[in-house]
Amino acid sequence: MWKLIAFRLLKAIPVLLIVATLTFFMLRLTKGGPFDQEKPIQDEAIRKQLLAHYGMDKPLSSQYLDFIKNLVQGDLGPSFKHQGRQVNEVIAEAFPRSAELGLWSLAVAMALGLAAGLIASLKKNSFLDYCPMALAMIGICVPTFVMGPLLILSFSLELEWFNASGWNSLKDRILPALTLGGAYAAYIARLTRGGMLEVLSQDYIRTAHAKGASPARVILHHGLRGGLLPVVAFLGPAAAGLLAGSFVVETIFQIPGLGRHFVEAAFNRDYTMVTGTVLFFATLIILFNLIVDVVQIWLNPRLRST
Amino acid sequence: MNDLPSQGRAESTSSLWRDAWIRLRRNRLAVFGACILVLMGGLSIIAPWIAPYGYETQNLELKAVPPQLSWNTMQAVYGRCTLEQARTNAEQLGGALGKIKNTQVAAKLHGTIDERDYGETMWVSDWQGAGPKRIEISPDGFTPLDDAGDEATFLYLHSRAHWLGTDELGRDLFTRLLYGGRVSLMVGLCATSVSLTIGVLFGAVAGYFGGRTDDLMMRFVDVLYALPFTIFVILLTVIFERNIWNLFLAIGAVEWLTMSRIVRGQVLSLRQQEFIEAAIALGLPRWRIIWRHIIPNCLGPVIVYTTLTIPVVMLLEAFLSFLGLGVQPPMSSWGLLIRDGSKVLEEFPWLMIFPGSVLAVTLFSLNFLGDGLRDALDVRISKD
Amino acid sequence: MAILEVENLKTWFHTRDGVVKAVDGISFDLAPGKILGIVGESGSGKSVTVHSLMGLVPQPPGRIEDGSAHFDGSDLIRCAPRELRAIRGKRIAMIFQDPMTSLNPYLRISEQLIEPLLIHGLAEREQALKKAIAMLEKVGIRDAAERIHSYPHEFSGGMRQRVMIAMALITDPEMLIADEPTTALDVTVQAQILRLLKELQADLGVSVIFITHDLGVIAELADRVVVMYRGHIVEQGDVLSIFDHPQHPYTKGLLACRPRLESTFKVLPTVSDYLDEMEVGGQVELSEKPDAAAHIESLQQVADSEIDENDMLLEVSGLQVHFSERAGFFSGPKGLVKAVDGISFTVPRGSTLGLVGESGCGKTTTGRAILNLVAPTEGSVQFDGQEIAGFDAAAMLPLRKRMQIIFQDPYSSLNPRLTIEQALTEPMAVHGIGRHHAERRDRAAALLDEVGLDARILRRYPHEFSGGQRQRICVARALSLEPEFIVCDEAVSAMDVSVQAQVLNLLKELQLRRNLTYIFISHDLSVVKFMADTMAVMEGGRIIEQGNAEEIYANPSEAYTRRLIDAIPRDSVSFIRERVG
Repeated sequence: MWKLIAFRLLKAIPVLLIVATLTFFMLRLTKGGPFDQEKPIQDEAIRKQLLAHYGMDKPLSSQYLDFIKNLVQGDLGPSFKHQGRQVNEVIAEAFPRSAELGLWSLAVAMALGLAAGLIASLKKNSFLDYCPMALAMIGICVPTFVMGPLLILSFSLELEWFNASGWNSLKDRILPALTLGGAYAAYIARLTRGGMLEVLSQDYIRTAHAKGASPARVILHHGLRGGLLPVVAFLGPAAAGLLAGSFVVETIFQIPGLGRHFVEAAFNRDYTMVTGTVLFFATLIILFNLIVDVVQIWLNPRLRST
Repeated sequence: MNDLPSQGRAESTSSLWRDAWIRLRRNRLAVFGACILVLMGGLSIIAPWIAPYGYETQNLELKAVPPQLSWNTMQAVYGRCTLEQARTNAEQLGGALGKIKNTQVAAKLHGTIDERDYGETMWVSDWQGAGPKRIEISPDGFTPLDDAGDEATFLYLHSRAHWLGTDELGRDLFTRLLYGGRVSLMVGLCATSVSLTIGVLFGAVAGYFGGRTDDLMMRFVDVLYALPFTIFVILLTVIFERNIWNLFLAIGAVEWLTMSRIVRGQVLSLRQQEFIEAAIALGLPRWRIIWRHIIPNCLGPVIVYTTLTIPVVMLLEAFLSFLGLGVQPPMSSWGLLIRDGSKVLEEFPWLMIFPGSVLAVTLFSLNFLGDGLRDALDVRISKD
Repeated sequence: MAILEVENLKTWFHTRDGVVKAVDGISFDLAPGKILGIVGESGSGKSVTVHSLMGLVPQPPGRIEDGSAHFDGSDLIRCAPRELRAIRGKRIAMIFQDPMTSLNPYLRISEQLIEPLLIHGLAEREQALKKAIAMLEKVGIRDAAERIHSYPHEFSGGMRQRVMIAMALITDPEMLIADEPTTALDVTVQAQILRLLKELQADLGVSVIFITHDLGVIAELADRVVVMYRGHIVEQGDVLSIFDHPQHPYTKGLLACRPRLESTFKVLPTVSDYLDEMEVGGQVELSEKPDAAAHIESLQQVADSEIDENDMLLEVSGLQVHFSERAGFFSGPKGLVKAVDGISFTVPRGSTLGLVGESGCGKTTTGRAILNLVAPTEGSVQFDGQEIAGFDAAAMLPLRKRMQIIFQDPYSSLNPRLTIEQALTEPMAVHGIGRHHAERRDRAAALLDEVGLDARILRRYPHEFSGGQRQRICVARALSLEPEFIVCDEAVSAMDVSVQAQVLNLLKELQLRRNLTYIFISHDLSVVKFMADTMAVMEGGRIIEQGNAEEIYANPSEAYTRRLIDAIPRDSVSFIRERVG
């Protein structure tokens, strides 16, 4: 197991390097630099000075080498637009908020999704199946950027239960987490139902019934593990999705998280900021996928021997 | 245990496709979804002909009005009608007639017209109610065809209502939804086609050749899978010019991975089927095996997965547009409309609710159809 | 006093296409300490019967319409779920057909073994574990104390079935239901499991219901026999009387249609030689054909073909097929699997070589390698004097007309998207047989006629046919190129015995008519004995014994061959008489 983790971490390095290189060159090779938009800096001297400050007057190859050199030391460089601040600082400040949002959403998604999926699979073809599955369909088809505003409209503006925006009290977490987690709850519900139905039709479930196990025991002891495997496998992509979803939710609820910084940086061609956040996100996703794999192996003994 | 065929049904032919079609028709949700999609598609295609206004047409007098089925305030609503009809209408409206005073008011009215109206004729009566006289609409304003006084009473001729209201810039929401549907559905179809083409080719090649080629190709897919895709699409749309074709490419280029895995898995399992081995043993040429035996048997999963990819792609487009990275105004797309609507949600909720519902209903329909196809074609999609 | 009395049991399935009367009013008893064999072919309702008793029928679509099953004062059909659960696994245990899927892959063997004890409150964990280890040893698993902590995937099929048996018997049940427990196993493993079951049954005195499609297994094991056909019991009685004096034509047919080691039939009798089925008012009436015995007698008057022992159609020498296993993309070969490891044999024109062996012995790979469907690593294959080993597709093309293959699984051997006509005419078109499509279609119709199918099925699709019919279509497809040589790869293994007999007869008939040469690959020695002139026994990629088929059966020289032959269930009346004594 440890060998596997070490091996996967080792494999992540070239992947990250590819991501870094791709992002770097994609950004540099396009027209328009960070100082060309909106208010172009007229004074040629100031412009040169600026470029020199950020090392952008050097040839591309040496810029790239500097970038990689700093990267290896964990330094993502200064931000172009957040004056006088390092990308590392911005990430360190904004990420905790995004992470918290992500975790709350994940919790919502898992709790709602698993419960709905389990109930639906156990009461197949009944009201308790159709109802949660219809809700899940709504969750999948109503995008977060529609759901979020609707939640604000009904719970903040009409009922005035929550604040429409902000990230101060614990109460402020509820609507964003529901918005972001809701969509994934829907996917998880569908996967849970499918996985459980698949497993419950297996021969070994019949064996368990033949042993005289109670329905509850058959489901929890024999069915759940196998039934949840698809859900666990989905958590990797789900994490990536939550990340992307956070851009939207942070915009809607005006949460100063990393997602908003990324979108803004992308708009403003803040090269270092974009590269930094992309790398940071990529690392996160690789790490998360690794965790998911480890959990899968832990759940499924057949994967353990190979 | 009688091993002879049932003689009576000897003539019946029922291919798997036909069976699937019959099963699909039995699935009410899927049929409903298909109908909605046909409707949406049809409306989008003929949008330029049926849209009541142009998608850029602003009516600054009527900013953010709620949905109305008919309209009788001061607006140049006009249409082709006879003088007789115009007079009847005017009489029915009684005192509700507005007035056009001088050129100033005429200019305001002019804001409510768009290019398509040029050359149309409207009827105007002078303020004492005499007339009516004909006025032609031109890019420069109103040109009286006969002598018209400085003041005229606006004649209500024919209502072109804003069924779904207007946005803050006074543009008709229904029109913009129709045009937005064109963009959203186009992105859905085109980007899915891009991903379909890449995915099927890549997966088929990997699956058919197998061995080291397959290993290498799938390792490549694995690496790409590990990347944060939406982020890459955002990067792509930021870096390259934000036009609709780049959007197709960007989305299509990331959505092919799963398709390639599905096709590869299908081809791999087909290769182990004994009828493929039998075909080789019968000496059938390779292209014939691929064309007659492998491709038709891969189609089911490909069709199903394609249907289910379209909503994902449309969602991605809407997502990008919502972030302001997709289609640029004054073009419209559903995502863009939702974005605009969500900003003024409290004051003008319809601006968000209508586009949101249309998008959701379309996604519903696609998902219902996809699920229906999956059941009808008896496809089990595993993504490995 | 019977331990179980089943009365008028009816289990129907309500499907979209109508009601399937899987079990339609059956009654039987199980005497304490005895083994009751329920025998029948697929679709006879034998499994549904026991699933109904155990409350394992999925409802819906299944429904138990009527009947009772009295077990020690409770009616298993009507009693409350809780009451049934208290009986299930404690007093009535069950083992299933496929040991590969019947154990929970996510739980350790130990967990699963002690579960019945824990559920029914028969022991504490510690104690249960001890008992489980003892039980594992009893079913013949060595190092039980260590291996008990393994997961199912670490055990072979035979071992898993032993675990299943241990799990079933750990609560000391009064009754055991075994649902085709040996069907998925190799013949030698089957023999071991049967012996184990017999020993345990005698040891523990448990009453057993044993379900099987194989009359041989019944003959080895059962005290009483119930014969089921289409949801009904057609006959029941003591094992000896069933085998000695079968009364019902179906039983007679079933007994006669199995190829047996000691029989000398040239053409196998089939169930339809005995049984007449007539539909009268929606009910199927079964009756015996009056002239059955005479008809079968007349069938045996076929002349054997004459084989010129020196006219070799196929000569294989030193054939090797190796597969390399790779662990990962960047790592080199991990190991070499020698699927076929240097075998040599010859097949005279017009004769049949039987290739027998257990799963994984390399017999299938041999057949594929001869046709160049897998590339031989080494060795020579001479077909009609021409060296063909390692030929590429182009070089093989003219030979494809002359050498064909029929596969095991008739369900996956036909492309589901082609009509029968397309499947049959496509190879003809590729090889330029027939001038135009109409001519090819006429040939296809003639072929169907030759394999005993109606030519009017040409426009239909494979999924509309049963397994036996599909295999006939596959035979017709192979014949469409007028081959001289056909590899039959387990061609009848997936079939019910009655269908198997028909297909075997067909293959023999075609051989005589067209002077075909066969390599007949099978794990079933009695089938090979019926088909083959010469035979080769394979083990671990090598041929360990070959020669005249009759002689090998009479006097096997290798211990392994001996074991294989001994593993075939004995079903002679004299054996049964001796056994039940």
